[in-house]
Formats: sequence, structure tokens, C-alpha cells
Amino acid sequence: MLARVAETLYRTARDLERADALARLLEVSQAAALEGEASNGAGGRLVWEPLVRVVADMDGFLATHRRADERSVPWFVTFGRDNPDSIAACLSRARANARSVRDRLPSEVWEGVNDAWLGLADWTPARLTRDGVYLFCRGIRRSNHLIVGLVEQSMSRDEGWQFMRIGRFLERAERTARLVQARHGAGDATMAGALDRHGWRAMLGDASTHEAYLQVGAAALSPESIGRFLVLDPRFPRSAAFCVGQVESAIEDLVAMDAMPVDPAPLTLARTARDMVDGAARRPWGGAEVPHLLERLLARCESIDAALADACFVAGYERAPIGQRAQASRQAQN
Amino acid sequence: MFEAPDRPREAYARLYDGLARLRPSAFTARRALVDSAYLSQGITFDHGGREQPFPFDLLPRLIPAAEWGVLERGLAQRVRALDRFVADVYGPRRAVGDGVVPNALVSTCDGYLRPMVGVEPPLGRFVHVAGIDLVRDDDGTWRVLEDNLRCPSGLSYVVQNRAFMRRALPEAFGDHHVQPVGHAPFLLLSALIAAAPQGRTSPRVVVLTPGPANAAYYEHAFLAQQMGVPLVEGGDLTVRDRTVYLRTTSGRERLDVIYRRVDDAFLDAASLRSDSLLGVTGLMQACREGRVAVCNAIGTGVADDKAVYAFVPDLIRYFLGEEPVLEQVPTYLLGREEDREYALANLDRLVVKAVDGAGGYGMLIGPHATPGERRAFAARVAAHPRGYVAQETIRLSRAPVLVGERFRARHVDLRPFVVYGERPVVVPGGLTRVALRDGSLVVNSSQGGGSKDTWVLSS
Repeated sequence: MLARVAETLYRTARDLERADALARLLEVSQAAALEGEASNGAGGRLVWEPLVRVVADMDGFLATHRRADERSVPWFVTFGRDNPDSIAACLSRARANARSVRDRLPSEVWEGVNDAWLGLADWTPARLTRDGVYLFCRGIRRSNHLIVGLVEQSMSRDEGWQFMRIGRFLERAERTARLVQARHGAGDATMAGALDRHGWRAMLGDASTHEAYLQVGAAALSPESIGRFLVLDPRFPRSAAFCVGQVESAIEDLVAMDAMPVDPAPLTLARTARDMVDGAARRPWGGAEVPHLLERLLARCESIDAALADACFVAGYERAPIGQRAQASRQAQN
Repeated sequence: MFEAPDRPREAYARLYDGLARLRPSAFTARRALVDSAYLSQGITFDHGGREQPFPFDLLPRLIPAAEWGVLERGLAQRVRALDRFVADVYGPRRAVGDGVVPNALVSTCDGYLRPMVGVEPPLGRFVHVAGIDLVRDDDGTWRVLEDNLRCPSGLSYVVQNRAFMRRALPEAFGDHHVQPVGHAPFLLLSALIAAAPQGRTSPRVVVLTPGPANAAYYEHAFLAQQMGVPLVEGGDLTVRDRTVYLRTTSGRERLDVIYRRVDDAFLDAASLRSDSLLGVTGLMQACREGRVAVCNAIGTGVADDKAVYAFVPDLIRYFLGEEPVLEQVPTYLLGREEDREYALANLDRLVVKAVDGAGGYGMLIGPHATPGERRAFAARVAAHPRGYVAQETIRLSRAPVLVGERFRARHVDLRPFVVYGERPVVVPGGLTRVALRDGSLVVNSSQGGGSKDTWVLSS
């Protein structure tokens, strides 16, 4: 498969997954801000500031916004022009990327991505605050479900599908790890007891995660068991451990179908990442080891991304030279 | 479509009866359906920097079998002659030697590329796909308006318009026996495979696009997908040892046929335009040695030059020994003194075109122009007379188009596609383009024209 196409499919899947993860996060934060202490003026500290830390960095955010609150953060996360990873930015990138490989995607998949992008035009700042973010986030999640469903139902299990699988699960592993990491960072100094539990409970977020957690750890709604579930549960498809396993298996499949050289660096790295979570699963969860594990896991995800670029994408992914767009648009098609 | 108010032409009678039962609001609803489908699938044309859905009119255009039979013969004949002409220009040069076309005209063509001299592609074929623009004039005579032999665009819309038509107005098809067009990409692929370098079994074919920024990007992607071949950009290809390779995730893979939608000059920065960012360095050398086929071949622009157009009937007689089946439009070469004098004196009723123009740009429609515009154009002609031709203004035939809830008459033309592998094959029908503005004669999609489905009826 063409190196450019492989990379584009990989990035498309990553951006779609990221938009979905952001929508989930935002929806959960919105819900958490409505109850308990967070609704009595502490929402900024308890909900919105941690959210900014998950999606961007706080100093950068404060450079363009006065404070993190229920007005500034949702807009920042969804459409903020100063946020290169806003939901809108992710979808626009995904759409531009999908468009440039649409011949390799089933038509319905491309249409799903295009429709999701076209749907962004219906939203204004006024509508986002008035109707709340819930409708918006639900729309994003539904369109992503549709796209992922179509990918699963209609794409051949060829190289393209495997690269999309790597993109989706690598992104998801990173997002989950970051989510737990941010909660650890905030929890240490400022929160305790019931308050903290409220925050951790919010992390389980959307119904599907909460329900899956209840199946496994019903009795203990404790920070420890929630964190462990999100990072290490071997069967839950959003846990970091599960996602890392998927990345490893996709790379193995690619090697088996000769779409990657034998024993590529990304495979070695994916294996060590899986060893990392396997090892952690054999030890008790908690203490200083957790932030350390998360940090190493995130670094490993980034190195898998870099190794993919080196091993099988267009070397270092040369950016299109300046002027190429202009030349392309001027080519006569008579 | 109509002979007189409410009296449809014979070929349209059945269609008229079938649709007369639909209410105007039904048409509007069906149209909305098609528009949203076009937008959602991203079947768009870049118009002034914005992606617009390609405007599509619901009423099909009908061509009776007998009429189509003549067109089909004439088109195949014309493309055979044009292909022979290109091969001759870069080969033995007999047509020039025998004085059929002036030597000066050929070697001053913008589309004439010296590096192609002496190159002999497989089958001797230079033109693999051609889009020939036809118009019907007031008397109902079909005439060739232009030949497009470089990167003719529109085949994807022929296929897609039919697909949407089937969904939007199934009742219109009732007992019409419309000739199908869905196999057009397959015809194209067969022609491309036929062009592969000798001795390559199961050749690797790709579509080379300038990229998503190009106005016709949708078409490139559609054709690649329908033919089941990779859609590539210049950066995906590399030349090693005079052989062209694809850059894949697992290394290099040899390539045999490039269906390119990039202009000649941009194909190879080493031997054509050095500032090109769209092509593959070294491609020209691989092509000269017959190690890769470029379709259409580099340099076919020499045969769709609008001044060479004037000589095509003679070329048909010369190369094929046949009388031309199709009429064309009387054309004046402004490089010739007497033609120029006549044209400049009659600018108010002629159309003046740049010989290398495309997309409806760089032309003056005398009867619609202001005196100031005519003066400005006359000055451009005087400065570079070889660069222009003048033609009699043809009153394009008109067809009904849905505007709001009413039908209005708009000018139309027709671009059939000829795919040339072993033999020339004409895709039944073609792209009917519609000038959406009242009275306008310009139907190019790059200028906001729309299209219709075109039905060739079986006898």
C-alpha cells in the first residue's frame, strides 16, 4: 500500500478518535459541573481546569482566556480557533485527509466523515451555550459511531483497515492514559473524600463505560479501582491495556501480509508497551508507581507513532512543499 | 426538446407523457434529494475556490439511436485520425511534409513538445481517452466544437449522473431502453492496460492527480476507485534506473501505466518545467525508453490546438482516406493575414478563442461582448495573432432545465468520451453541459455550468 495513503488513513482514524474522545470528555465534564460542590462556584477548579489540562496546557489556555469556566472551556474544546486540537479542527483534518484517500475508503465511510464535517456548520457560539454542549457532543459521538461501524462492516481487512485500527487504538490508549493522569495530578493536593469520588466517578463518564465498570468493580467506587479499570482492564475496549494490545496485533497482521518489513521497530515498541501494562496488572495498583507508569506508557505511545513514520510512512512525512497547492489548483482539466 | 409550445419532439414524447403526471413540487423535492446526495458524497467542483455541488438538472437529454449511430461513427473516426496525427508529428512527419498542415503551425503549438520526438508508445497510441465537444446548431446539425486530448474531464459525472437519475426519477426510465454507461471506467481501464509496455503481464496502473486542491479531484478519486487502481500524487512515485516505482509501506513497487491528470509541462521537473512540484523527476526518460506508459501520452496537446482544429477534416481524409462524418465550425486562423482582416472587421458576430485555452477562459463571444471588450481583444489578437482563432457563433440548441419550479430553456452542448485501446469505443451519450444563466453560451463547469444525464436510446 502507498506510504502516503497508509499514513493518511492512520491520521484520519486518529483524528476521528480524538474528536470522539474530546466529545465524551466535554459531555462528562458538563454533567459533573452541574452537581455537588462543582455547582457552587468551584466548577472551574474541580471540572474545567482539569479538563483544560487533559486537552491542552493551562498556561497556553490562560494566554487567550481570562479563566477556565463553563463558557470559555466548552467553546475552546469544540471550536476554539486558538486550539489546534479542537473537535472542529480534528474533524476538518479528518475530512481533508479522508478526501485525499477517498478512493481507498468505502463510499459510505467517506460520506459519514463528510456529513460529520458538514454538520459543524450548524453550530454557533450562541447555540452551543444555549442548547448546551450535550446535543453537540452526542452528535459528534453518534457520527463517530456510525463511521467506525461502517469501517468495521464494510472495509476489507486489508492494509488500509489495519492502519486505521492502529490509529484508532493508539489514540484511544493515549487519551485514556491522559485522562487518568490528569485526575491524579489534580487529586493529590486539592481533593479528598466524597469530592474526589465525585470527580473519579465523572471519569467513568458516559453510560457505556460506567456500566462496563459496574460489571467488573461494582462494589468499589474507589479512585483506585476506577483508575485500574481504565488503565489495565484487559477486556474493556477503551482501557489503555486493551488498546495497546490492539495496536500490537494490527502491526503483527501488517507484517504477516507483507505490508511492513519483518520485525519493524513499531512492533518492538508495541510489545514493550504491552509488557508494561501486563507487568503492572500483576502488581497491586496505587501509590507513586501509577503516575510513573502512565508517563512511561504515554512516552511509549509517542515513540510508536514516530517509529511508524520512520519505518513505513513517507520518510518523516515530508510536508507538501510550499506552492504545491497553488500549482495543483491551476492544472487545467479541459 | 419542443417543436412548438406543448408539442414535444418525437423522441421526447414518451418522457413528456411520463413526467407530465408529476407535480412541480415533486420535481423540487427530487432535486433537493439529488443536491443533498451530491454534497454529502462530496461530488463537487471547485468554483472560485469553494467546493460547490456539481449542479445537476433532472430532465435527461435524449438522443435517438439513429442519430447516435452517426455521432458514434464520426467520433471514432475523428479520434483515430487525431491519434495518427500525433504519432506522425513526433514520428515521420508525413502530414507536414505533404503540406496537409503547415509546418510553422505545428512547431509553434504550445502543446508541441520536442522531447517527445522519436518516442513510440505501445500500439503507436498517443490518445487513449478523448473528450470531443459537440453542439447542435439551429438547423439541428451536430458539429464538433473542440477536441480535448490532454486531460479531458467529465467521465465520472457521466457515470454518477446516471446513478442519481436512477434514484431520483425512476419513473422516467419506463420503457425507454436507455443504453447503460456504468461500464465506462472499465472501458478506460482496458484501454490503459492495452497501453502497458510490451512484455509486462498484469501491468500495474495508477491515476496520477495533482492533489485534492485540484478542481477535478473528485473525478480522479472516482475513476481510481472504480477502476480499482491506486490514486497517486507525484510524491508517491520515484524513478530509479529509468524505472518508475510506487513508494509503499513495504518498499518500492514497479509501475507500468500512469493515467495522468497533470499537465504535460508539470510531469517531470528534470526535462520539462523545473519548478514543477507535481510530477516525478526522471519520468520523461523512463517514458522515452518505453519503460512506462503515460496516458494520454505527453505532447497530445499538439492535436487539440484550436488552430490545428481547422485542419482536422483534411487530416481525416489524409490519414484514413475517408470523408469526415461530422461537421465542424467554420474557423479563421488569425495568424493568416486575410483571415485576420475578416475577423477583426466582424468581431461583433464571431467567437474568438485562444488556441491553447481551456475551461471557457480566454475567449470573446462577439455578439455578447461590449465594444470595449471587443477592442481590448482585438489588441490582444494583434499582439499575438498565432495565438487566436475566430469561429462563427453557433446558436447552441437549447433544452429545458428546471429553474425553481419551472422549466426554462438553456443552451446545452455535449461531450462524448472516446476510449481508445485496441479500437476506439465511444461511451454511449456523454456529458451534457448546461449554461445555467439565461442566454449564456458558456457551459464549462469551471464557470458554474451544470449538467444533465444523457440517454442514448436503443433502437
